[in-house]
Amino acid sequence: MRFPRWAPPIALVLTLAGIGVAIYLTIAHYDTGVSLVCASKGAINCEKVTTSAQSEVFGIPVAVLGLAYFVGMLPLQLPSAWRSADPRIRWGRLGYAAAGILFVFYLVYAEAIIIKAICLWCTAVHVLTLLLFVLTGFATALSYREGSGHDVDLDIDEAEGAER
Amino acid sequence: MTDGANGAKGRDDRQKDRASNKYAAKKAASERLAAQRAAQQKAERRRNVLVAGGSTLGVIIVVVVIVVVGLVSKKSSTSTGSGNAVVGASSTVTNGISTAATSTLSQASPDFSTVSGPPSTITGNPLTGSGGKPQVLYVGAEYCPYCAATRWPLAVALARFGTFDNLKTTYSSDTDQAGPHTPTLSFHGSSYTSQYIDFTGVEQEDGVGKPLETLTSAQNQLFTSLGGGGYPFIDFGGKWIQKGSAFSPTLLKGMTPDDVAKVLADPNSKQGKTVQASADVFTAIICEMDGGKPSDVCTAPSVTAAEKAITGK
Repeated sequence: MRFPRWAPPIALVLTLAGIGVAIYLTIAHYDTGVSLVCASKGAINCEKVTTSAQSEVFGIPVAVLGLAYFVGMLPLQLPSAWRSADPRIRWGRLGYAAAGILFVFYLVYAEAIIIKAICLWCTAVHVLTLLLFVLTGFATALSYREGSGHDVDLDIDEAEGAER
Repeated sequence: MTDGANGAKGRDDRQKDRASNKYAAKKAASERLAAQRAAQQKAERRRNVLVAGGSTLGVIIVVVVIVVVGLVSKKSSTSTGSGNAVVGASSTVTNGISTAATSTLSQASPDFSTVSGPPSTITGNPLTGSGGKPQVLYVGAEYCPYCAATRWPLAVALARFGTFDNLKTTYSSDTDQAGPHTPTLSFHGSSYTSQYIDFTGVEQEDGVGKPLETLTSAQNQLFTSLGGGGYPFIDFGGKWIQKGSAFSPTLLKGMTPDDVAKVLADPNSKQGKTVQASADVFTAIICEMDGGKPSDVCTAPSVTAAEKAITGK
């Protein structure tokens, strides 16, 4: 599979950054001694967001879900995964990135409409998820199978063989 | 050379020509095929890039719409809301605080696991009041649910060192999902007297986020540099600070200020135990900042247990 060379390194950096921020949010969620470096006044209020009812989905902290998401994204963004011609990996990666965006929609909705406060660290995770989706989308769009060019070469080889 | 030999040579030449023509035709066909496929691939990639670009644009539009709707709805709720009434504290509330301040001191093993924060030590200039006494500076807002929770243990702790006048009661914002309609006190318009310490309680904003009281430049410097500009912020004599809530405001859900006051001294009440533990922590810190006075408060079992819990001493 041919793919843009820039895709895996940038995607891996974004994924690792996502893991880092998600670990920070997870630690802050479980360890009450750790408070997020963030304002807690007015529209920017990390504490208000991370301690709200929407900070958990089906009893699982959103921070943990975020961490699991980025950890799951890691193998999909490795160069070997990008080289793979397996459509399950190609479309699975795109679907995984799209699923992340759908969850970001819900979280942005929860922050802006329900909680009425923005958590900067959560926003960082949302931006990383958005960038991963955009990168995965464009890199997938620019990827193509090497097979068709190889077929042309074979045609020419066969013609040369017939002549001999 | 014979005619037969010439004929054979001619046949060979014609065969070579035919093979050469056949190869050329195949090569041309292959090249046409390759060009067609390349053009198809290019068109397909262009279409995919357009789909990816459209998806990206769609995602950004959805996010922007959600944020704009949120901002507009927040603005309208703020501008039309009148907030919860701020009224003078009932005798139930003032008596509940006084009772909790004295009766809970003898409990040896408060449950400090419910205390959020907890306060942390700082180094810097001592914070003192006009009379030179160590000062406790509180900064909050009447709409803030975390402030709503934190005022209860702070008031109980301060009541061990002095007396409040004109305390008010109210509720935090009804629309703040962190703890809507949390019953609480308001320090706005109240006064506090103590022979040991000074207390300054500043409610910067009212129940709907409108400016209420202003900080001095020195107070604002502490609030922004040490507290990060977040509510609530408590500076204990420049030695300790509390950033954020003392406990979860949802613990007081559905209660009135009188309901809270009635359980403050009840060690069997979840709310009472939580407020007591936090009040003991605040008390231990105030004892550290004022040199351990009064001794009956600062050597009480619950306060020494709190001191051990936060300092390890």
